[in-house]
Amino acid sequence: MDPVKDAALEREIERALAVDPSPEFLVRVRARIADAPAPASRGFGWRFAGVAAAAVAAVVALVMLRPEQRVEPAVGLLTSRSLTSAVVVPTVSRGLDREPRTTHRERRTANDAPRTTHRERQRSEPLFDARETTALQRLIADVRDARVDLTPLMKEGPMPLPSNDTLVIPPIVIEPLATSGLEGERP
Amino acid sequence: MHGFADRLAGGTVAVNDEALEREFEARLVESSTLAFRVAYGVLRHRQDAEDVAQEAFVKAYRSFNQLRDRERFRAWLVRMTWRLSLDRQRGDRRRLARETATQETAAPDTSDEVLARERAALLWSAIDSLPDKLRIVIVLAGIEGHDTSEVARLLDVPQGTVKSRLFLARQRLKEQLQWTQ
Repeated sequence: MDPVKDAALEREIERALAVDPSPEFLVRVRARIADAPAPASRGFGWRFAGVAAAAVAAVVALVMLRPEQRVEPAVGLLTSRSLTSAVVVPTVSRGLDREPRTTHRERRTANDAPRTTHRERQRSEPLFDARETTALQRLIADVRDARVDLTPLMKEGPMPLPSNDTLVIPPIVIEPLATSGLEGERP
Repeated sequence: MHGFADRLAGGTVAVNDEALEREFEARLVESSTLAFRVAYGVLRHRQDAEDVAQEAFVKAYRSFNQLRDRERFRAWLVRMTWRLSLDRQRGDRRRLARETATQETAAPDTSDEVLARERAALLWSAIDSLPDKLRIVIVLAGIEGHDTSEVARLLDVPQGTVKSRLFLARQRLKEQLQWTQ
């Protein structure tokens, strides 16, 4: 048997590979491409990434810059200066909150917002008596639910204070201690 | 292809849809046989080769924004088709059954046909036994009369590398193929 020569080998390989696709091949490729999902082009990817980054930054900024959640009294009912300006209302628990209903995901997102450490909470939260806090919370909730009507208070205006004229403050007299002159002796 | 140009543009702003459509169509027409033959060189089954080439074109379509250059497109297409073909070949368990069926149905009519079939089977068996780096070079060189410079461009390797691999591949094939001319 003679060894195979290069030229013969090349011809043999070319002959073996001289196979053409079927006439329907291009048609099928075009149809397949027409059904293919939209290509993920570079421009689209960058734009999508930009929008996503902006959204994340906005959420983070909102959470970071948001002051400690504080329930403001109902504006229409509590307009008296004596109530709105003098009382610092603590945070109302969610059970008494009447905010619009949120989905589970929204609540979870809110709970996942940047958490403060125990030490930070101790430093930033004002101290209130538990009974006072509970009473204020109930009052606010009742006002919101219209179980308590503060209209009479608004009509009466601020609580009258006693006149300063009636106050008589006697002068304070400090008498010198009578000592016998000996150091350390009690009178 | 309704919506073809829109999808090709993929949201880019300054892309001319019509031009992009024409470009991809031109690449598809001029490279379809190349992709098919690359796949056929591995799979040696017309339908499977068409399926793989079609898949490669779909992938090329998705990345066409980065493949608009003709040479880059052809090189990318060849390599993608080759990889997909190897994956198909390795994962396709039907291949064994197909080969068996081919042998059973290959009822030769004449002694010449018997000889031709035997030679072809031997040739493909020898090509299949080559390492992938040598195998792709011998297949690409056997397609459409590609010279070494064209094969080098398609594989993105130096021309000298192609020459040495081609030489080595032919040596190994000649050692295995001892048929007479």
